[in-house]
Amino acid sequence: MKDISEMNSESNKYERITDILKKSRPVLTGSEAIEENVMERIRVRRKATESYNFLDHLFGWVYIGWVRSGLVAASVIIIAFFVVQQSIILKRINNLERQEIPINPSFVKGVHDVFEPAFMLDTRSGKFSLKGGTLSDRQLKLLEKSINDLQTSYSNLIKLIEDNPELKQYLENKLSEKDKKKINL
Amino acid sequence: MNIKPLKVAVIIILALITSCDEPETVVTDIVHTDGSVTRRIEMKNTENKFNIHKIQVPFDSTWIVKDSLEFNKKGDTTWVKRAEKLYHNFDEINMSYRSDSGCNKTVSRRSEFIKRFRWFNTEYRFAEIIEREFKHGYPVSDFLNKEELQYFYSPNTVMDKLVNSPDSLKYKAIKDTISSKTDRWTYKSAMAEWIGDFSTLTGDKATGDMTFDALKAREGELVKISMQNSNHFDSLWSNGIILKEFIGESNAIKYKTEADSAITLVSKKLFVDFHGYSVRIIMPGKLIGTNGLMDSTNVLLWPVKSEYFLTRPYEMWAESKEPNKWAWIVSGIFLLFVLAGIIFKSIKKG
Repeated sequence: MKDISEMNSESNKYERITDILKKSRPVLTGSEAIEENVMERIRVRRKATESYNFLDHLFGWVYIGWVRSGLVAASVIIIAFFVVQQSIILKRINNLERQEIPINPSFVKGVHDVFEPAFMLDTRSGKFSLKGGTLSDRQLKLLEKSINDLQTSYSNLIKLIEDNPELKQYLENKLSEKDKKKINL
Repeated sequence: MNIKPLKVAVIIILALITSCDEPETVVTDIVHTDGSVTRRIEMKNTENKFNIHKIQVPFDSTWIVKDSLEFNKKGDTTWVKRAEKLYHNFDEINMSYRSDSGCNKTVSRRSEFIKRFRWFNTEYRFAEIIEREFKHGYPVSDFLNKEELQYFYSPNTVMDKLVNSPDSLKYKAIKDTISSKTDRWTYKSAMAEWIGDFSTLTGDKATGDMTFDALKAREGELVKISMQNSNHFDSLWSNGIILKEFIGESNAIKYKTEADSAITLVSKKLFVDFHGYSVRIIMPGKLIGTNGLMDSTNVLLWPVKSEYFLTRPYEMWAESKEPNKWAWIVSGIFLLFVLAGIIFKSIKKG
């Protein structure tokens, strides 16, 4: 009986102490910062665990001896096959270059790239004639490209003349001579 | 079968035909990756004369034909006939060769296309083959050296250019050497063919000295007799003098029919009715091998002349490759994966 009464008194003491502690709660400042800090720590820990799992899963084969050896062997075979194949092809291409002979391109070139020639150039009149009246996209692109090339070459030539005063002077003299001849005629 | 005068006559006749109304012809095979072939024929002539029956390759109404008149820098006119047809595969080309009714129908021709998967690349091989006329002849390469062979297989334009080049003396000498060597090659092959055909015709009837092996062993003698009497070969043969000298009087009388039939067969094969042309092949992807002539822009060309397929099939082949980009990517990713795995393991171990 005595023991029971002692236990009751101790539990009463404990309850009283906890009540006192609850009532004298510390003042918490910056609770949001603490919450954020805790959440960040949780996030980082989860991320680290996840990444560890993915890499471990992806490269799990490195711990299996025969798979590792097999994949390394396959890689070596692929590299060796590539090197051998490319060197054979290069050798054959080099041999082809030695096989090259001068062929008269006047006729042996054969058919034009564009099956029906778009233009017929009459060298006597110096005029182009357009066959069929329409141009395909490919023909238009070719025409555009040749015009652009011509313009680039022309600009380069002008620049070359401008940069060289002697050449410029020489050409001006030649042009003036030509003009004089025209006037005389 | 007087080879030398006949050869001269045939050359003159062919030259006359060419200069008169036979157009200069180039046949271009544009090979596609799926094995289909666009065949283009380009014929040039100084006159507007194009006889359909004189086209050197199979031709019919399914071809798309374009005629044009072109001017050169000097203002000369050239009549050009262009024709184009898509063959879905090489079998279609072979079928057209089999049913050919053109001027070269007597010659056996075929084409081949092979596509090989080689992981990093896909390789393509296309060939135009003309079967040989003689079964028992010798290859011309046994008679000509490398330089002479190069000249022998050159187009006429190249031959003319070389003969008129600063090295003209050298090339004229090569030309003369080739002429005498090819004469010997022609005689030797013709006589070998005669022995083969004669043995086929005599069959089991021939015994002892008249068997194929016995005659073949004495082939050199026949060549010598024929070449010594080249100027009067026809009359000496028809009088049976050459035959008597070679196989003896009694055998010459006994086997005269077979011997004459055999020489007629050989003559037909030797002077096959064939109209020459040029072949071009344009391959898909990068060119990696060919036995054709090539210029700096990888234009391939083969002149086609009857002597090229007299004793051996004349094969015009080209090989090319195209990279398999997906295979490069897959291989690269695989190698990176294995390398990354090895690095990962060493990091973990460390």
